[in-house]
Amino acid sequence: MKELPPEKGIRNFSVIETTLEKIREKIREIYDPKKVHYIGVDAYDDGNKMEIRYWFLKKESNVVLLVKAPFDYGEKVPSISDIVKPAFVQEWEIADLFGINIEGRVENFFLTPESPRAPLRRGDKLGK
Amino acid sequence: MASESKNKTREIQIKEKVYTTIPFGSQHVALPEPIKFIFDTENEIVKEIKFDIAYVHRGIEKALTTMFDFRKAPYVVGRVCGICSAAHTIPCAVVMERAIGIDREIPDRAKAIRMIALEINRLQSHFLINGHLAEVCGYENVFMHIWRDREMIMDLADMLFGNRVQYDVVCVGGVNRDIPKDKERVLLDKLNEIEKSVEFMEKIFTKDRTLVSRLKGLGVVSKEMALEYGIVGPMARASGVKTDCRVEDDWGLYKDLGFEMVTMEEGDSLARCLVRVRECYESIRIIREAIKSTEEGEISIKVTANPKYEAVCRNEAPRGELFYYVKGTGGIMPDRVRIRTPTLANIPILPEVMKDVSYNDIPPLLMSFDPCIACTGR
Repeated sequence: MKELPPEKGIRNFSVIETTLEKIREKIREIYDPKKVHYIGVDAYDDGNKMEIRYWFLKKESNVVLLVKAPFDYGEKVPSISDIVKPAFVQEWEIADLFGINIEGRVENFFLTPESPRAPLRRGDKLGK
Repeated sequence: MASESKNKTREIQIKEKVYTTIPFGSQHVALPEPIKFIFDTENEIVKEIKFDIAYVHRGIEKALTTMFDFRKAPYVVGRVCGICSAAHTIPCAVVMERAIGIDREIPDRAKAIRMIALEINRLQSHFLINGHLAEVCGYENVFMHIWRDREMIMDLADMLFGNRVQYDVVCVGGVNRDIPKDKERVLLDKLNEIEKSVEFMEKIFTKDRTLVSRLKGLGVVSKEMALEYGIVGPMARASGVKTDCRVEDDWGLYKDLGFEMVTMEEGDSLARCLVRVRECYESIRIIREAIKSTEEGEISIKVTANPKYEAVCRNEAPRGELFYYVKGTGGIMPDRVRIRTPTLANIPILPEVMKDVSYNDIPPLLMSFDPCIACTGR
């Protein structure tokens, strides 16, 4: 794996920062299943705002790539599962874990209905 | 008269098509772990699939950021899954080392022991699933033979690491115990016996006419589909996709030991099974090489700092690519840990592959996917 200088606290992956409006366009631009491997979806909540994160691997250079976009609590997040077919499962997973309103989500896919809601969310708690 | 009417009913049923909804799981004899499928069938041919994986979530990602010091993290993630415990502890330790900035200082002997732990883990996992596969095909005696031989691997792990299931040998900074010379000799002897068991397994899955005809052509995943759905591990390699994190990530010494990737082109259930069987040979070879290439010596470095960077690690678990991400902020607990397990990557293609398959072929097809639900739930 390519070693990158630890700039901005990042060790061994590259980052593309974009906005929620442009994230689908950005992913459409970079994603080609023959050249880019889709790793997964993640989210991050720092207590003030959230981030949606898509992980990829550039096969030729073996570099992990993170495409991320910040958004506010309650904002609707577009799904990329029409561009990256397998993304839906992990989108539904993080929708449950962070209480994100992702387009097309199935509720209680990853958590049982009795589970605490959005356990990984820090700010703007659900169910207040 | 009654039988005439019965025949007539049967004819009507065949002509008119019989639609049945069949729940499969969450507890089912063919399932080692809880996952639920609902199959909508037409004359026993699966047409629509819904699935539910919400049974074993344990909040491990959250626990790693709220309850445990980063030094304990590898031991915590070893509990994500009993079958792939070493496969989790290694990338967790590596990603913490990367987040601290000490990953280049790990001694070679520690890397070799990590590789031995991972390959022993892979061997027992491949034995486990191939035994299950034989069982759901109706070969209970083969299942018992394979699982009997798997015990040799479990005992080997016990001898080397002090535990059959949770090895807990990997720590941040290296490993916490060396393999002494006398145990190395026992290990090499045992590997010869395990190799014979792999030969037995290969013979069964290539020569037995019933098993071969049951698995050949079942649930074919083409190379294009495999790439499109981003599937990982033996599943991808059985479809001709050359991907293996053992050569793509560099935490170990795989490249130095001349690792050879096992791939097949057929993409069916038999190919998936045979890729796992043939990977056992490669695992045995890697263990032998790892023992030969390093001597007893330094096995860890002192860890004096906390994780402060963001880092990732990709490891080849028995089921495929296991991805770890850590965001450190300089504290004793990371700010975020993300674990993307191989089954999570392989689940999206399941409904596509199960479509138009006869319901009675679902158990072997599912076993050939080797799903690990404990990992998926975390």
